[in-house]
Amino acid sequence: MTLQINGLSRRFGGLKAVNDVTTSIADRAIHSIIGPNGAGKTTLFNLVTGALAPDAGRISFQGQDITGWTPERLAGIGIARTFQRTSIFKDLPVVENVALSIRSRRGMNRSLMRSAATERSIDVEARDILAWVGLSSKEHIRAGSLAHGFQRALDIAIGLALKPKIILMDEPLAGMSRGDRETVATLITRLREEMGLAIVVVEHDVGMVMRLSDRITVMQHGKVIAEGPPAAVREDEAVKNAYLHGNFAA
Amino acid sequence: MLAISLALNGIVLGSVLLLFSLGLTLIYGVGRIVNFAHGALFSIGAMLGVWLAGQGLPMWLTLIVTPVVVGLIGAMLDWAILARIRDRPIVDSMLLTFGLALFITGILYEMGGRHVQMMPIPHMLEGATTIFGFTLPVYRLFVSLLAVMLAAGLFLFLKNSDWGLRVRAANDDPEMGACLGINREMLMHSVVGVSAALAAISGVAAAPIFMAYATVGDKILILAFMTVILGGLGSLRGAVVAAYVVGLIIVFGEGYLGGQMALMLLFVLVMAMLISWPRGFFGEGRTE
Amino acid sequence: MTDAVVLQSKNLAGERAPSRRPYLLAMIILAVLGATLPFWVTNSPFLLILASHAVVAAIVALSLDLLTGNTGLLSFGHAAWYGFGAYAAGLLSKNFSSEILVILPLTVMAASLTALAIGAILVRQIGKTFAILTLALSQIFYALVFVFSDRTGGEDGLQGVPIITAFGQTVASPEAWYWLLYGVLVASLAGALYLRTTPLGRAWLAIKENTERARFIGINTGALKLIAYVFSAGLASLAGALFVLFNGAVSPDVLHWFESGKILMYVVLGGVGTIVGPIFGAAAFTLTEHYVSSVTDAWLIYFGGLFVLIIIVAPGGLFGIAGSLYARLAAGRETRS
Repeated sequence: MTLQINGLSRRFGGLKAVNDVTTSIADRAIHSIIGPNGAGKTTLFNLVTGALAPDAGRISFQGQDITGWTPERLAGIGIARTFQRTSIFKDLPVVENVALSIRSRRGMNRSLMRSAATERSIDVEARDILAWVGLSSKEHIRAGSLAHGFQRALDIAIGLALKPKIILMDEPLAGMSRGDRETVATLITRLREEMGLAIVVVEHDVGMVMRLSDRITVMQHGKVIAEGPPAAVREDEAVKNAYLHGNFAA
Repeated sequence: MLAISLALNGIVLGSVLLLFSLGLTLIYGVGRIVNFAHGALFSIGAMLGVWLAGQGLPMWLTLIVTPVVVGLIGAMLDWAILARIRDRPIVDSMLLTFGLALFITGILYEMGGRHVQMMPIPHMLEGATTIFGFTLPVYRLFVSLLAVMLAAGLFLFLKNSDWGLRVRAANDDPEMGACLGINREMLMHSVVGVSAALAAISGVAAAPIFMAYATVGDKILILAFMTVILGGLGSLRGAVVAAYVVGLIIVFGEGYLGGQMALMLLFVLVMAMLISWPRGFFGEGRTE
Repeated sequence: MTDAVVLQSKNLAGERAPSRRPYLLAMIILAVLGATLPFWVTNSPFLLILASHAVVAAIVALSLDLLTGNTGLLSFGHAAWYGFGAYAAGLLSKNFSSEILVILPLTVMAASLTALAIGAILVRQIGKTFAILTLALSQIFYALVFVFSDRTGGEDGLQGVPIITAFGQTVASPEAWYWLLYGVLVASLAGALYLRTTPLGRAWLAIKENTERARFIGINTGALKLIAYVFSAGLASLAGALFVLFNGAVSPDVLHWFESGKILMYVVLGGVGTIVGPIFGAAAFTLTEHYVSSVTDAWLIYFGGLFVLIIIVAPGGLFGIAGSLYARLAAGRETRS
C-alpha cells in the first residue's frame, strides 16, 4: 500500500465535508475518486495533499504517518499534485518551471551557490521530463503562452520533476477539449506504465474514469458509498442511486 | 477611580474608531480595497468641519454638510481614479490609495493644514456631566452616542435596504453579486462614497477632541488598521468589538504607560493575536 | 510590470536575447559616468552632495526591490528599517565608536536580528495584512524615537554625529563620501543581480509568481520570504547608517510614512522587480524632488499625483515603459529584416 487513509474527517461549521473516510491506494494503481457535487472529493483531496488539516483520522504514506503535514514537506517525500485550474509559473520560461521543481527536490531552495555544472545537469533533466510529457522544443516559451492542453502537461511535468511515488490529480480533464482529454488520459496511463507511479484522480468525467482506473472510490455526503474495480462500481446499487438523484455531472 | 474614567474615555475613542473602521471594512468587503487614503478622508472631514464652523455654520449643519461633501468627493475619486484599476491585482489598489493619501495630504497642507486648528464645542454641549458619580465632558458623551447611533443606523440600513442587500451580496462573493444583476460600478461608487462620508463624519465629530490638521487622520488610520486586523479583515461585527478593544487598550496604555508606549503595546497585542487567531475575533476574516 | 518580468525571465533561461548588448553598454556607460561624477562637478560641491543623497536613495530603493521585486511582498513601511539603521548607527557613533567598520556591521546585524523576529510573524500573513502591518511597524518605530527622546533627541532629531573613520583614517571630504556610497551601491547592485541567478533567487521568483504552486513543489515559502525580508531590512538599515554618518544628523522624518512612500515611489517609478530600475527611479526622484521643492511648497501634491498617475498608466514603471518600447522597436526591426 502506498497511501493509507484511516477514519479521516473534516468539518466546515456544521457540515461534515469528509466524514470518517477509510481507503487505501495501492502501488502503481490508477485510483479515481468520484461522486456528486459536494460529495467531499475536493476536501478529501485537500486533506491528503496538505492544503487542509484533518479534524480526525490518520494518513500514512509507505508506513510513515503524514497526518497534518504541510504541502512543502509532502513534496519532499514524493507526493506530488496537479491542479484543477492549471497551476504553473506563467511568466517564467517552460524549462524554468520544471527546473524550479528539480532544484527544490535536490534541496537547493536556499542555496546561494551558482554552479554552471549543476545548472547544466538540471537543464538536461528538465528537458528530459519536458520531452516525456511532449513539450520538447517548447522549452523557452513563456509558460503562460502555451496552449491550454500543453499547460496541463507542464503542470504534470512540474509534479514529475519531484520524482514522486504518487501523484494526485485534481480534475485533470476539466475544461479540456476532446483531443486534449485523450492526450492527458494517455499521459496518465503512461505515468503508471513507464514511471511506475500510483495515481489518484479526482474527476467529474465518469466515462473517462471508468476506462482509465483500476479502482474507483465513490463518495456521497462526505462518506465512501462504494469502492472497487470499475465494473463492480458500475453495477453498485448505492452508486446507481446517487446517479439517479441527479447531480452527477457525467 | 482613574481606571473608570479611562474606561469611559476608551469607550469614546472606541466609538469614533468604530465609525471610522466601518467605512474601512465596507470598502474592503465590497471592493477588496485596502484603503490607505481613509485617514486622509478623516483629515478632510476635520478640516472642512472647522472651516464650515468658522463660516458660522451651526454644529448640527456642519455634521450633515461635511459627510455629504466628502462622500461626494469619495464617490468621485472612485469614479475618476479607483475605477481605472478595477481589474488589476490587489497590489495596485493598495499602491493607488497610498498615492492618494499622499496627494490629499499635500492638498490639505496647502489649505492651511500645516497648522493645528481648533474646533469650538457648541455651547449646548459644553461642560461636564456626572454619571454614576463620575464626571465626563458632555461633548465626549455626545460623540459616543452619535457614533453608536450612526453605526446602528448603518447596520439597520445594510440589513433592511435594497442597497444593503447588494452590499452584503457583493461582500460575500463578488461573483454572486454579479449574478444578482448588480451594477457593480454604481455599487462601488456608492460604497466608496458612504465609506468616505463615515470617515468624514468621524473626523468632524472628533475635531473638538483631536483638533484638525492635515495629518490628523494618520494615527486614527493606524488604529483602525489594527482594529480591522483584530476583528478579521472584512468582518463588520469583528470591527465593532475590535474598535472598543483598541480604544480601551490605547486609552489605558496612555494612562499608565504614556502615549507612544500605548501604540507599541497595541502592536504587540495584534502580533500576538495574529499568531493564535489569524482570522480575527469571529474567525471570519479573509485569508486570501 | 509583466513586460519587465518577461524581460528578466528570458535572461534567466539563458536565452540569447538579441537586445542584450546595447542595454549592457548603456549600463556600463552610466556606471562609469556615476563613478567619475566628482570630476565633472568640481565647481559645485553642492551637486556632489545632492548626488550622494541620490546614491543613498538608490541603495534603499534596491533594498525594497529585494523584497517586493523578488517575493511580491509589498512594504508600506520600509522607512522603518532605513530609520532604524540611521538611528542605530547615529547612536553607536556617538556613544561607542566612530570607526565605520565597527558601526556598519553592528547596525546591520541589529536590524537583521530585529527584522528576523518581527518578520517571522509578518511574512506568514496574507499580502494585505502584511502591507498594513509594515505601515504600522514604521509608525511604531517613529513613536519609539519620541519615547526615548532623551537619547534620540526627539523632535529635534539626533544631532552631532562625529566625523567617522575608516581603518583609522577620517572620512570627511565630499568626494571620499561619494565614492564610499557609490561603492556600496555598486556592491549591493552586484549582490542583488547575483542573487537573482542563484537557486534562492529563482525560488523567490517562483513565490512571487505563484505562491501556492511553489509550496506544492516543496519550496518553504514562509522561510524564503523571511530570508528576503531580513536581507531587505539589513540593506535598508545599511543605507540608513550611511546616511546618518554622511549627513551628521538625522530627524524623525526618516521614519515617517512620507519617507516610506518615497521609497515605494523609487521602486514603482523604476519598475518593481527590475533591480536596476529602482536605482534610476531613486536618482530621478531625488533630483526632481530637490528642484521642484525649491520652486514650490506644494511638493507633496505633485509627488502624490505622480504616484497615482504612474500606478494607473504605467504600472511597470520607467523600466516597464522603456522595456516595452524597446521590445516594440526590436520587434519592428526583426519583421523588417
